[in-house]
Order: sequence, then C-alpha cells, then structure tokens
Amino acid sequence: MLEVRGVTKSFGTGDTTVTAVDNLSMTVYDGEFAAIVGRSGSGKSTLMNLVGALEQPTSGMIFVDGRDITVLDQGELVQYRRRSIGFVFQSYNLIPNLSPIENVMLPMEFMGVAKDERRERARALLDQVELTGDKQHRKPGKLSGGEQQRVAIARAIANKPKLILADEPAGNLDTQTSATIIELLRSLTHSAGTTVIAVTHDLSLADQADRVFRLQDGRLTDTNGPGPAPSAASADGRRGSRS
Amino acid sequence: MSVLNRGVRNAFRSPVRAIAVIVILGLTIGLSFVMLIGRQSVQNKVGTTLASIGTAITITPVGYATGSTANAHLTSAELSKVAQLPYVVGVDEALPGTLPSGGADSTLLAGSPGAPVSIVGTNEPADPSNVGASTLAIAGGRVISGTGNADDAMVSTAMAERNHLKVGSTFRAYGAVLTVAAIFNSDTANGNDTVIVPLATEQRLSGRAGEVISAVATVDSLTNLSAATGEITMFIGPGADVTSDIAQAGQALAPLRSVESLSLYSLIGATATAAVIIFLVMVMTVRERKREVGTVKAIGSSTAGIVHQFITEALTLAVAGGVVGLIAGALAASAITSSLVSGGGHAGSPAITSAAQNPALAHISQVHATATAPEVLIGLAGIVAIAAFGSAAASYLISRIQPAEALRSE
Repeated sequence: MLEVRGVTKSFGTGDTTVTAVDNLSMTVYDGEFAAIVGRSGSGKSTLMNLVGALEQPTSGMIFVDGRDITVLDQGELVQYRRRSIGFVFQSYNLIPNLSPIENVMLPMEFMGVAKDERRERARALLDQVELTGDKQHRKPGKLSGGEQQRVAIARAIANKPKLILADEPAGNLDTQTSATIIELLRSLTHSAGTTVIAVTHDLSLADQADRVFRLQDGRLTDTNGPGPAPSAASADGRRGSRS
Repeated sequence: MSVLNRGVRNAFRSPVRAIAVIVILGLTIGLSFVMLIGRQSVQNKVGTTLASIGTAITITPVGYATGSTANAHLTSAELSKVAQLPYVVGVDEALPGTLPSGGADSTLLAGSPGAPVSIVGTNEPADPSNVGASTLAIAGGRVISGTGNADDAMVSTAMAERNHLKVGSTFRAYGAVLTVAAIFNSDTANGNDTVIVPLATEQRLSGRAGEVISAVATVDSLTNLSAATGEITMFIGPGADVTSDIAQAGQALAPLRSVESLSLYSLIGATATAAVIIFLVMVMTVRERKREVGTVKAIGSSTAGIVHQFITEALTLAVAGGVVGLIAGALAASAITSSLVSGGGHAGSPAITSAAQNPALAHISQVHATATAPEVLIGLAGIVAIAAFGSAAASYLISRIQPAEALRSE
C-alpha cells in the first residue's frame, strides 16, 4: 500500500518559492490502477517523483508497505528504486545506443541478475509487450513511439516491482497506440498484482483507472474510487472504471 | 552487457567526436611522451657523462692562444712541484708546436696541402688527450719515453703512409733527425696528424727550454678532486686556469640541463593539457547525458555505478588517444630531442668549448632518445590516472544531483 501523508514539495527559484505539492495526502492500495489528473503545473509529475524517490519532499511522509521512504539513506533509496519501483516516462527515456533487449536487461544488471538469465527474461518481457523478432535488436531510434513505450514498460517491469509509476505514458502517442499502452499497463495490475499509478491528461486513461486523483495547484481536489477495501485489491473485476 | 562493454560502446556513441577527441588527446599525450623520453634520455646522457669523467685537473696558462709567439706558459719546474701536492698522483705535461710541411728542416707532409704539421712534446706519450683524442693504440714499434731526451718520435699510420715511414725510419724536424720509434692510431683526424715526441726533446728542438703549455694533473680519487683543484690553484696562482673535469662537465652539460628543464616543463604542461582535455570532454559528455543519468538512476543504478561507467568511457578514449600518442611520440622523440639538444649547444657555447678541450665530452650533444618499457609504462599509467581522475570528477558532480533534477534537464 502507498500512503502519502501531508507531503509538501517547494522549489526555490531566485527570491521566490514555488510550492509544487502542498500538504497532500492520498492512499493507493495494492493492485490498483490509479490515475493522477490535473492541468500542467498542478504538481502531478512532482508527486510521481516524490513517490518514486527521485527527489525528497520538503516535508511530510511517504509510506510504501509501511516503510517511510523519506527517511531512507542514499543506499536504501537506490535499493528502493531498484526493487520496488518501475518508471515509465512520457518520452520513453530509453538509452539510445542500446537495443530494446539491452535496455530491458539494464535494471536486471543493477539487481545482479546473471547475464544469461537477464537476457532470457528481457526477451520474454519484450514478447509479453508484443515487441518481437528483430525489433528486439534495433536501436530505439528505429522504433515507433508506441514500440519504444512498450520497451519502456518492459524495462519498468523487469525487476517485478510492486509499483509502476507512469508519467504521461501515452502523452506522445496516437489514440490507438495510446489505448494499447493503457491496456498493457492495466493488464499488469491483473496479471501480476502490480500497482500502477499513471499521471495523465488523457481522460480515456483516467476512465479506465480504479481510482482517479485530481490535482490543482499541488492540492488534491477530488478522489474517485472504491476506497480502502482489501478485497478490492484483487483482480476479480469488482473495481469498476471511473468517469 | 557489462559496465565495461557499455562504457566502450558509449565512448564511440558519436564516432566523429570520439575520433576528434582521440586525435587531440593523441597529440597532447604524444607531446608528453616525447618530453618524457627526451628528459629520460638527457638524464641518462648526463649520468653517463658524469660517470665517465675522470679525476683529472687541466692547467693552462691564462692568455694562451694557439699560434701566438708571445704566449704565456707554464714551466716544468713548477709542474714538478704540482706533482708533489696532496692528492696529486701525476702530472701529464704537454708542449704543442708546429712544423712547416715538407721543408728542408721539416720534411714531414701534413694531411692537408700547405698546412703545418702538429707536433707535441709530452712526458706521457701514450696519453691520447695529448693529441686531442680519446684512444691511442700502438700499431707498431714501442712507446717512446716521455721523460727522456732522445730524438725519437711516434707518428700515426696515416702520416707514416703519407711520408713513407716505418718503425726505424728517420725524418727531419726543427733541422734535427728524428727516428720513428712507434706508429699509432687515434680516433681523431687531428690526432692522426700530430707527431708525438718526448717533452724534453720538443723543449730543446723548439728552443723553449722548460716551457709547458698545458698540463693535466691526475688526482687519487673523485672525492679529493675539489680539494686538489684548490691546492693547485693556490700554488699556481692567477697565471693559469685550473679546471677539473667535473667543472668542465658542468659547463658542457649546462645546455643539456637546460633541455632537461625545458622538457620537464613541457611534460608538465602537456600532461596538464591532456588532463584538462579529458576533464572538459567528460564534463561536456556528462552534461549532455544528464537526462540519461537521471533515467539510469531512476531504474536503479547507484552513483558509483554511473561514475564507474563514465570512467570506463574516459579510459577508452584516453587509452585510444594514448596509443596514438605513444606511437607518434616514439617516432618523433629522437628527432625532437636531437633538435632540442642541438639548439641548446650552439657554436661558441661552453659545451662546445669544453668538448673541444676534453675528449670525454666530445659526444655530449649526441643524445639518442628511444622509448623504453619503463617510459611506456609510466606514460600509460599517467594516461589512466588522468582519465580516471578527470572522468570521475566530472561524473561525480553530475551523479550527485537528484534524479528528478537530471530528468528535468534537456
């Protein structure tokens, strides 16, 4: 379970201070597909960065499975990002001179997985996201946006994280590809019980989420979802889409 | 794919830039290597020269000039007292002169038409320094007695052939008849064009009784050289220059020491330039890939892992540049070092003067610069250290920032 408790993140820009996330609290349960929506500058991406331990909050606490990640030291933060989190970025952020299979192998290398095993698993993961054949060995620049995002998703789930953080995962994709990617992310919650939190402008993505958090000026203005029902975390289909 | 493999591939991610960096690095590393080799070679030359310097002290009259009829001179009487001074084990005295070539009173023909024949009287006829050579080998006959007064002479093989002489033959000098007692070979043309006679004979025949133009005192040990020089200077007084081999070598080696200093400064400069190039290239590379650093940290890399990878990239470029530099440096080292050395030892310099006086210093400007295994290893170690430090510093600065900040950069 992810619990954000009274988190604030401020940035100093010259003489002024901008508060991107303002005393925000929220909870996401295991196996949920949650969407965070809001206008540009509302603090969505900053919230994702805080949950993913890519930066530290100015104040507040973030609990992941009961552990406050805001007090972890640098080594523990590396382990947290390595084992518990999978990131999917809007612009894919693949390493340009590595093939898809090498990109997917990278997080497993950080985990210390043996070379043969990580190659085998990377191949299987790319098959799972339906990137097959010689496309697994092309340079990312020679793949379409949708294909690159599939590689990014395969890379995000390489170490079987409990939480996937997707920042505008369909932001650069056409409608049809976008639907495919969203479905792929959603399927992870069913097949692996992974919690997925996606930041989006895309209302069609939000429609498919179990829970939708609306942000404005760094504050949570609305939450739609089934609430803390342990049974709701299961992939039995009882969690309906929200509109 | 390992960090090593990835680092090597990343180094050539942009082939054009990688080649440009390698060429620039190659030039600076090559220059460093040339200076390293040159400095080592000059140091070796200085070392071997000093090691070959003997325990001799040269005594020459102040104001002496070759060919002058009104020359200052030393005397055998005072030099015999020099031989009694502390630490002095012997004094080699010489009285040079000239004979007209092919006259009635001096029948010998010189090597060059019209040139006079050199003659030297000495109490040490077997000492090659009397004829300006470093070796003197007897090819026939017996060495004459330098302390005697006989009308005996030693001529070179070349002079003997030119004048149809052999051991036992006679020729005329100063109007007297001299007998060829020995035929020798020296390692200089000047030496082979000089007749050697006993000191007393030269003094008598040339009408310069008791005169000596130059003397070389031999000291019992290198340790006492300085003390003996002082003793002789004090005894002889201001009428003669008293110079030890070490002092001569010091003058002769001055240009080499200049080259040594120059090569050291150039080595430091070129090495520092290589370090700055590596550092700036890595700063530029790391900054360009700041977003990638953020991504890699987001998916689980540690700071150490990122630094490790950038070090591998820098080492790849540095080693490639190093190989280019080492090859170029090894090829250019000899020519550049020779140029530096010859530039430091211009005509009229103390080196040339000393070299003319002392055969041991004759080849002092001939420095052969060659790359040896220790120098190559030192060069490679330096390259690795520079690359490791430059890349580690650059990547550490970037990898310390928060991943989110790196991801926000363009």
